[in-house]
Amino acid sequence: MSAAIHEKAERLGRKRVRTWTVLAILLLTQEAVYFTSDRPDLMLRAGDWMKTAAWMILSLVLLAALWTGGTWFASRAMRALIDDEGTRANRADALSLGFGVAILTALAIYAVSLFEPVRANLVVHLVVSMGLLSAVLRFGLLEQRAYRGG
Amino acid sequence: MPIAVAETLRNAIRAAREARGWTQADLAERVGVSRKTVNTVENGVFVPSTVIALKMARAFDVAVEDLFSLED
Repeated sequence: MSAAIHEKAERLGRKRVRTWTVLAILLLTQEAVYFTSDRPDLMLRAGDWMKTAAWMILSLVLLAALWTGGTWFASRAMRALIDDEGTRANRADALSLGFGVAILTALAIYAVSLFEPVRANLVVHLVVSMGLLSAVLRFGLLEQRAYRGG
Repeated sequence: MPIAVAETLRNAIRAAREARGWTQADLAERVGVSRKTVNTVENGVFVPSTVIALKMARAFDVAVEDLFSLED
């Protein structure tokens, strides 16, 4: 493989970290709006469907990106470089942490629900967002560390 | 456990690379991985697979034991 494709892979890899960070901030913003709305625990009102759809789509995109590496439109050679062995190890590490955080969040909510009823939609928001945000943050930190130096 | 292995694995990649006047990018190009992966292997952050270790040894034209060794 030529030096040009390696340089492009490095640029795209760094861009991926920035893009995923922006998406994670967007997800965090959506959740902040959701949890600070006047009645987040009640059923959706007509105007909330768009926000809910956006949150679900963003969550699915982040999950798919973490699972596959997110280099869907790159050539095969480029994908092999951007999502090479080191990057796959970082993704596996991030997914593992995200899974653990999601389970711990679910257990914590279960403990709270023993004393106070918690609605299912709130639980889903918390579990999904905590799992995804921790995984994306972990991946970003590992990738930044990997790019440093040299 | 990968972390335990990483703590006991030493490598001589930086020395071999610098002896040849190669940058991390040069080595990455020869091995077919990203510069980032070369950087993490070189710094002991990431323990590569046997395939990558063998490819690195081939790039330097040395035995894999000359690049990687276990701490006593």
